[in-house]
Amino acid sequence: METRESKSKNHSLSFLFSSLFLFDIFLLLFGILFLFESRNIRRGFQQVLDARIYPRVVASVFSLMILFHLVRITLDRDINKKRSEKNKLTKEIVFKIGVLFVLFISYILFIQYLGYFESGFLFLWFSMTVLGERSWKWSFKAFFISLLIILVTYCIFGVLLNIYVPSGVIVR
Amino acid sequence: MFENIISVMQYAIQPYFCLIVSMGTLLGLIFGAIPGLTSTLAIVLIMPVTFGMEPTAGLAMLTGIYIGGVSGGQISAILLNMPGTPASIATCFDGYPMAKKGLAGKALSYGITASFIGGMLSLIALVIIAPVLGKISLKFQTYEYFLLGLFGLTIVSSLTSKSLLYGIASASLGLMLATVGADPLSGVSRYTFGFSPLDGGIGMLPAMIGLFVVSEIFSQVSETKSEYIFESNHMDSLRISFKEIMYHWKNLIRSSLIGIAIGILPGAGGTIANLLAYDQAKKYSKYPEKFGTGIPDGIVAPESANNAVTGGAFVPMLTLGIPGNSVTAILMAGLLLHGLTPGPGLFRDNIGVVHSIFASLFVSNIVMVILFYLFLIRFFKWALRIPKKVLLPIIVLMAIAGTYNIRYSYNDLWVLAIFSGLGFIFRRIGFPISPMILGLILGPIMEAALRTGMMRSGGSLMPFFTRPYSIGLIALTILSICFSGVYKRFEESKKKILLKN
Repeated sequence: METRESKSKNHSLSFLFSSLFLFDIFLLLFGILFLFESRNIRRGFQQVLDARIYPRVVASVFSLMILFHLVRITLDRDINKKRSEKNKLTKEIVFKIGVLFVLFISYILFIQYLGYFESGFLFLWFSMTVLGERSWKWSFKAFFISLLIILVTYCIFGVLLNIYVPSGVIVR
Repeated sequence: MFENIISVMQYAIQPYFCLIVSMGTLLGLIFGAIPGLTSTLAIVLIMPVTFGMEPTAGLAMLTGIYIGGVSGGQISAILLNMPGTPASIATCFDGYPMAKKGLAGKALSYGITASFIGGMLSLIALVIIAPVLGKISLKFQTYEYFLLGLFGLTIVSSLTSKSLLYGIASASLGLMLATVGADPLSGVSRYTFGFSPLDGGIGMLPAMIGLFVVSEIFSQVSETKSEYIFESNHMDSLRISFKEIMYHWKNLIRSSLIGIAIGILPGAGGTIANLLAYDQAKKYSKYPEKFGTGIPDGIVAPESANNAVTGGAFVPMLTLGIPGNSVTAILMAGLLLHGLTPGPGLFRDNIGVVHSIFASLFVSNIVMVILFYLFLIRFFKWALRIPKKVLLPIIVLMAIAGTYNIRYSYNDLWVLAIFSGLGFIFRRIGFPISPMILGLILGPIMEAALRTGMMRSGGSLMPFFTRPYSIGLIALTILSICFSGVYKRFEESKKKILLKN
């Protein structure tokens, strides 16, 4: 049987690893980094309020607010629990979001080598396949939909609006 | 006054101007109608395209998107029982039951007519109030400019976020990020960490596209499986008589006034106006028990109110440089990126831009009705069937093109990626985004005002607390914090009661 002590220990541990707590710690560290880095800013030419003071005040306000919030969620753990429960996502959704983000980063990475339309087509095809139902039929359909969208986008951006986008291996 | 009206009309009759506004309104209607996509998203996405245009034309297009977006929300609210934008929540209560009765066309007609009347009344209010407030704000000095920014940040932080601590932290984060790059007065480099692309600061627009557009796409991934179910595939007559509309004149005026007042209040938006107007219409109705069963009164009130917010929200933005809601915050960024500073001075230095905004509000309200009746109602029954698994990647594609087009920089794309990831985490955690954006926009203005003010006073802080206008602004800032608690409780209770009913 679990003792009351071990239960409260588990509760404390889960709180320390909760998303809200970790998020606040991350923000606090970010604020402290800004405060610390403000020491390296030069004063600039003679001014009443030099170039370091304003960022230092703003970073202090930010860090203080986050610190207060951290204290608040530590004292009232129900807020943290409620928010964590509300934030729960299914494994499938987490997988989809993760893959979509990787595809998004890859798109940005490859845009300078493959071009906007070429890498855009690949991004559209792969992301539609991931977001839709897992079947060869949908993947095949997504290929043609992506091709059609890219052609329409080319007509609008490249021909009609004359918007400059990175040129690539096929479309220049 | 007469000269101003002529100047506004001169813009409104230019074919190119009307075409640009129409394109914006059409885009806004499409984005507003699709649940999950908002006018904010459309404005951020299209803003880079407007850089190649004259400021008046670019802003006219963005204003058109705003009007279209607010009006478009009612389409899915009536046809699908899903508000296209949060500002159309109350429209579902009677709009959908009317559609279920086979009167979808009539419900949409009531909605669009009410939107038009609400929008026009708010434009009249804007034209009357803005110049008066503009004249007062011309007396402001650097001390008041700083306090105005502080007031704007406080009210947006307190009204748009569930936690006041997070709200202020979000605004401070925006102010902090705005200090990255060269110091506005001495040019000293700050927070670049030896990374040269940061010398020019963090791009406001890539950050906004990441925070508002791409992060929203990631948040909507869970909805890719849902399909929209139309209550009826048959559309009845769209015709309603002048007499039928005039029967609701009291409701129309009351709801529009509610919308205008809430729009002027910085931080409050269309959602609360929509709910409050519905609630008041029910309270003053001769047959309150019929509300929720599908009666026109329940469509007229929320739709005239949410469109009346549009003109009201422009009042603090144009005259004081404080956005009324997140959409006007984005529009304010648009003004700044076009080299114009909203707030005191805009009426003195760029009155043409002010007139063009008035004209675009006028034209877009008219165009909205024309587009609606001509083909959009039928078009939407088709367009709403486009699945999200196709739509969401297309928006990412457009976001990337828009970001790259700002200054043809790959670094901006990385800024977009970082802020997209951050925006998604912020949304999941419940950390508010709007105060941060406002902080990023107002940061350089506030810092310059504070430091030049201190220089003028020889290092004394007293003018910030002793000048009559300063005292007024400080009082308003304190009041806004006190008021936010009351306002939030009121908003929550109204939402609960109405959604329960």
